[in-house]
Amino acid sequence: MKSLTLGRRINSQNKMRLTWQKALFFCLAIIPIIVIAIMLVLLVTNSMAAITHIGLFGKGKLLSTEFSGKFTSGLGYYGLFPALWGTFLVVLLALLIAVPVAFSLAIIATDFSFGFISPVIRSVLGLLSGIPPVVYALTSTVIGAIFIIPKFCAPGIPSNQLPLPGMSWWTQAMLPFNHSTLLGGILLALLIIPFMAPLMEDAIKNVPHSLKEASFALGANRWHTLTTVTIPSALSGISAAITLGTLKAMGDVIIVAWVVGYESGLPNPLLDIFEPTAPLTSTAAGLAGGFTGTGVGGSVQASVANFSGLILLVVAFVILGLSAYLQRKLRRKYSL
Amino acid sequence: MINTEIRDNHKLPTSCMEKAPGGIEVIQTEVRYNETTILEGVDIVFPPGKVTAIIGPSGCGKTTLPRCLNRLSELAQGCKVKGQILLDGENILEMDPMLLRRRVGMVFQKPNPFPKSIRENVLYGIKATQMKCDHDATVKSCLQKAALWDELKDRLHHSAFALSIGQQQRLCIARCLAVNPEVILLDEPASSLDPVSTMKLEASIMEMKGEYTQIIVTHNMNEALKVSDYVAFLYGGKLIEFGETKTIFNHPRHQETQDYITGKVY
Amino acid sequence: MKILSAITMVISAFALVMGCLSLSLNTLKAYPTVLLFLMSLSFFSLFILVRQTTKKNNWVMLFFCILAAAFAVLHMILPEYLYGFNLNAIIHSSFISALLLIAIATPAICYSLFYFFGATPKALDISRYPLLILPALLILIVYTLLLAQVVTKGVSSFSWKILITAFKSHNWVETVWKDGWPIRISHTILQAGMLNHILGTLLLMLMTAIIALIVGVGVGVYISEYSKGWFASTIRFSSQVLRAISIFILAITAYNLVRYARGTFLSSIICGFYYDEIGTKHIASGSYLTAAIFLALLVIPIIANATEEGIRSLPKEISEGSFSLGASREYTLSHILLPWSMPNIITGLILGCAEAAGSLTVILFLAGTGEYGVSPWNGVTSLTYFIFNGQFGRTLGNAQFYDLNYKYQYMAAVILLVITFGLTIGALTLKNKVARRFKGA
Repeated sequence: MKSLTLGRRINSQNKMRLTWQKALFFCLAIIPIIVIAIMLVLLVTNSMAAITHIGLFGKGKLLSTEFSGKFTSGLGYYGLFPALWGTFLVVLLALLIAVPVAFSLAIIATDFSFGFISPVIRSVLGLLSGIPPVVYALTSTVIGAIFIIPKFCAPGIPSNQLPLPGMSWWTQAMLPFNHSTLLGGILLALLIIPFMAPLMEDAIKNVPHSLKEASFALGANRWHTLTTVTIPSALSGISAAITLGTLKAMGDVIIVAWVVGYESGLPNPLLDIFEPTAPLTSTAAGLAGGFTGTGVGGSVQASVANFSGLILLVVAFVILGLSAYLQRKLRRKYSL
Repeated sequence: MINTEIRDNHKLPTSCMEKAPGGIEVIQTEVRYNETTILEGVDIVFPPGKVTAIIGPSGCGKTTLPRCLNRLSELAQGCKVKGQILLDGENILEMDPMLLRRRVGMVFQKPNPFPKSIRENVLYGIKATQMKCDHDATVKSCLQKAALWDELKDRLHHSAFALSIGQQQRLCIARCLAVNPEVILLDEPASSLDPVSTMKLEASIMEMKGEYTQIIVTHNMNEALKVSDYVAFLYGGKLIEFGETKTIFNHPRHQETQDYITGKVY
Repeated sequence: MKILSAITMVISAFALVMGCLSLSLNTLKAYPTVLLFLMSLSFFSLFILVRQTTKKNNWVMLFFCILAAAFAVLHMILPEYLYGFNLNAIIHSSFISALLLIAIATPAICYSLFYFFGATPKALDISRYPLLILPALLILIVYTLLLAQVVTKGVSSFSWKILITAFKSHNWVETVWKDGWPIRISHTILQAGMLNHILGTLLLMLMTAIIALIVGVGVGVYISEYSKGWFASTIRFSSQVLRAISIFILAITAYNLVRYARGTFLSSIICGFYYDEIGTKHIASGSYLTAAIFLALLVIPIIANATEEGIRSLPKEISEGSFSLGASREYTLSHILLPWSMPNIITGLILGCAEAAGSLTVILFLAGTGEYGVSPWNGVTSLTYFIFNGQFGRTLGNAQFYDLNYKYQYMAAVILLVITFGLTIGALTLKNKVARRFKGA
């Protein structure tokens, strides 16, 4: 019976012996890391071809503003700036519509709920969040028919009076019947509202009840408590929800491909939301051959598609980083 | 060694059978969590088959000691045990912890039945350690020993969460008995219970004397007086006094023991 | 005061409804001017009344009054169609009037509610309700409209025959020998149908579920049981990244993988293969297995999170009780910890399945037409691709698909909605039932 030293020879459960279960779980657990590594490697190596053959700056090069719709290899310009601008426009529009609506839905469901509304809203949102993006894209004709065509395409004017004085033929031809950033923005907003609203709801519910009670005890009414106590404390959670909604809108392919298009250049007045400006995702899908029926596009196009994926990844990481920084600042400022 | 005699050669043994209870010797053991020393140089001999009570003010290490005896203390990060602890002559610090825990069972302060049926709870330890025995007979004899059989015999498939706290604690005792341990550690078992359940619990402890070595941690002097044969008084991580119950309570040798027993404020 | 605020409430509610209707109709030309003037008037009278009763000047109301008057004047001089600035649209004036009406009516209704209920703090709460209810109601109406259109069109174009036939658009050339000369006869089979798309959706869901369950539970268990510190944080971070970077990048990676795998020995598994009518083996452009793997990557973070949360929520005493009975770590894991997390895991799994069923991106990049049967090694397809082809089939060169199937687009959408809604509802209701079974009473 030798005396032992500080537990180094103890057959301790804390030491976690190597069982076959632990090895199995280890192999499963490193799969995400491996997959992300493979993804990054593939993305970067495939973009290299585009970067070296086409080049980054200059007319028609990757970071320029000329993008031609010719998918025959070698003839096209592959400037990706219009695609970036398209993503920016459509996501901005979607956020402008979706954030206030999701916010008001969240407030109704938590603080300002009356009677039975709160569980009903929550279940309805849960149901709506399951709708696949394809179905939204399919309903684009309805929204076009009830909103966009009456308001923006002047169906009441007989064709012999067109174009109206002061309008160019080109503008006339490009009226936003079924393709416009506006329509894409509206549909994307419809997509991300059921996604963001429950997250905002959780953020508001996580505000400690003692804060709200303190405010009520001092005689404040519900609206005042909401604006001065609840929302500032919930800001970090709300900004997290908005970030996730942005990322989801940025990464959506089907709605934008269907409604906005997959090849275009910069809109003429830059902020023209009535023109279709294909965002990054649908441009990449178009380049990868999803719309030409051949299945696999040529290698130049595939490389440019990879490069646009890389750009999207970079933008996503920048947004994630900014949001993390913002959340940390908000949490430090407003949380206990 | 586990002493499971097979009574009938062609029938599986019932668990909870009689066998020799084990004695524990703690020799110069020191326990440290990160930088704090909880127990220092403790030397105790727990006599086999008897009930030993560990008493002392909070923070003296009286919960840490039983957790060392079945090596649950190692589940916490940063815990280091130095010294020797012998169970029937074998050093437990060198044993496989799981084999150790089949011989040294534990009943916790807050009853913690599993979210399964009553029958499943009792048989959990047997299935986990792959012991071979007759399941129905085992359930019956363990619940009888814990004074639960009459109350629960037609409710065996109900969830254990539906029982009252007192019943849950006795179920934990029955579950502990099912793996046929030699030593049973009880960490303030009656602190969550009402007086009636406490009485039933103490009756069970008295019944198990002789078959099992029991080490009970308690802050209730009455309980220590009623059930225990020996008492160990811990203070500040050190063993101050150890002896028979009557001796400690009537003629304590140390001033601290006297102060604690009579309830002087610490 | 109360009568005036009641009148204002009625007027502004009417104006609000007019405004919302104007978002769609073009014919309400007479109302906006009148309504705007009326609201300006009521703002002014409320301002006067408030000044009389409380001796305070509510300048905001005066501002709204002037604004409403200005808007009314603006609306009178607005031409019917606005265009210019190179904008690609001819804006009808009703759009502007809708905006103006909503902008003035909302404060009007809020203020009138406030004064109707007596200008107390509680009245302020009540007055803010329209502000919150308006966007929510509008959006809910829009959702109802969309779903109603899909459902009615889908139900009206329902056809059992399409439901149970597989889509076939096969061309092949058969060589027949006659008098020693080869004669090439070309055959075509054209058959409208949806069966392989439906079966494809189900197969995708099943495969995604299996893969995601295994890997997700593995990740979750490893993070919470076997490793602490920086390694666990890295794994957790990377699984969250998988979800945040959106399906687009996963689809590009799938596309890359398929391009690399062509011509190698893995091409049958990754790209999918099929045998046409005369037995020639062709390589498709993406198999079910590939699509399922990449869809599973999206579901894995949900399941890993659910597992981790479940394991973490188990009270420590129960797992200690298990150890004290001599059970090993693995036994405790499989008999106590995992059953405890089962409700969360199952909910996450079902929601993930619903997502996999509705995903089109990966299939788009893999260009799946999936005509030759449904099994893990065949070309991938899904109901979503059916809907997509129903719109773009002509430009895709898949004219036969378009001609045969475009009428049934909405029917496919309805079936897809049934599947996803069923799964979502199932997940939400199942959670309570499963919790009761695995977590005790």
